[in-house]
Amino acid sequence: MTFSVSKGEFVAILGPSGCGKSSLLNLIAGLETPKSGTLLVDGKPVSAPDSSRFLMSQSACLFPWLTILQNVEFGPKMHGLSPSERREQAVLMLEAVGLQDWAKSFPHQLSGGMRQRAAVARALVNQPEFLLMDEPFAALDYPARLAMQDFILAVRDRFNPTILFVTHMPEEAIILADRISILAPRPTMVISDMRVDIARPRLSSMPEFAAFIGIIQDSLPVAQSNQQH
Amino acid sequence: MANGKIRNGKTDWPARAVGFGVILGMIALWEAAFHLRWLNLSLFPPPSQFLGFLAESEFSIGFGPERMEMHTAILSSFVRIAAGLSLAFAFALVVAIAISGSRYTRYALTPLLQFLAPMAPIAWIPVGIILFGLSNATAIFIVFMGTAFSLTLAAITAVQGVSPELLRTGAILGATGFKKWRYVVLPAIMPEVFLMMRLNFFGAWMAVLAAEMVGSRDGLGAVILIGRESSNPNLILIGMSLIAVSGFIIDRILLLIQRRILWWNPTLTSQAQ
Repeated sequence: MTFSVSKGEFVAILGPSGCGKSSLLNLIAGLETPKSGTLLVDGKPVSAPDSSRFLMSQSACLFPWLTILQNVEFGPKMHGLSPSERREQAVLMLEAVGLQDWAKSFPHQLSGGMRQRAAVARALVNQPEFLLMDEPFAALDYPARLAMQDFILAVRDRFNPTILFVTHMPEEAIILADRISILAPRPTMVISDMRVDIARPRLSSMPEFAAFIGIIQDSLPVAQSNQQH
Repeated sequence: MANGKIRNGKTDWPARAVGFGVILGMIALWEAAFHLRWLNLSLFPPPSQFLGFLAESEFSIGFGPERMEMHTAILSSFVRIAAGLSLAFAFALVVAIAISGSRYTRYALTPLLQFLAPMAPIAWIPVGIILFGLSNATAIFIVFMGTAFSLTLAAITAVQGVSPELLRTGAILGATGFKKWRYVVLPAIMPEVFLMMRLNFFGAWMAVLAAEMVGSRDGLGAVILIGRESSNPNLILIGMSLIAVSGFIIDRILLLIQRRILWWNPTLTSQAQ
């Protein structure tokens, strides 16, 4: 398959289960190596995981034995920043995601949405070029999911990373993305690639919104079983 | 051990009171049976007798060079168990991490550990005495040998069980090579290994006492030994009750440390009550 993303773009990836959405993100993150073909970031091949291409998944994966602040400091610490520098950066980042009051709390004391915000802060403090988000809000309830959608758009406006966002919800893709790519399985390929030309903020009550959902549903490959989640 | 359960982080005082009430009731029955001569308890004197004996002898037992103060006896048993367990804990973490670095070392060394682990602490007593004579080192050696290998096995299992997602996130954040082991794996396995250590504590405690009874001249085991040699039931019961109380206290101390280490892990904390 051929797939490319330009800098600062927000691309949503839609497709049925097993179509290779997660594998695509793992490949870009450097966690899997391609069997054939090339994967270039800024013209250089990807070889190992790196905090410049930050993969986030459904579970926030915070280190449970560290406070929220220490979690955010973890990346800078691994990269050898001095304690005062990394503390300063982490505090600023927690303020940016609105978790400054929870700095000394531990992950299990936070709600699912707050944990995801902390995970975003932990990623952003490393100034990643890519945020690779693999259904990051799938475990959240509906209101928390809506709040996170607003949050991620605010993050995008402020930090301007390139975002690849895997989701199985067309509505979520339309609300967030500049471009939507639809994948089909066996073999994995991009069967549809469309630009979302709807003015922001996008509301599900807009007529063009509903029309776009129709277009997406027509282009989604027919599910072969009812196991689609 | 089960009374005083923690619910919503608060101690359940009524449950605790009932538990202690039962203990006090048993002691009251024991005292009554002795004083009202329901049974012949000359070989099994109640607390009022043996504690009285302890106070009369100014909290020390034995004569001449064998004379020892009670607090020294308690302290030496404590120090031995603490030293043995800490060494075993550190050994388990370091060795498990070293072995888990490569599949081949794990395959090569796990069977050896599985062979050494079931050897009961008591079984190491003769070896300890031959190696170190009758000294503190013997008791520490016995506790260490009796617990280190099963702890190491537990630690290896814990390393295998570290969530791949945490390792992956660690790798993305730059925790690779040594940093992965130091900053992700080690903290992740600490709770499980510590819990294992606490479960192994009673075996180690028995081994220390047995070693002291076999020949050391101090420690709580020796108190019972001296009581037997001098046919003094008061002394035997003093030794026994001190062993019970000390064992209980050490277990509580371990539980407190465990809560400090595990408290970020609510599921393990509740399992470990």
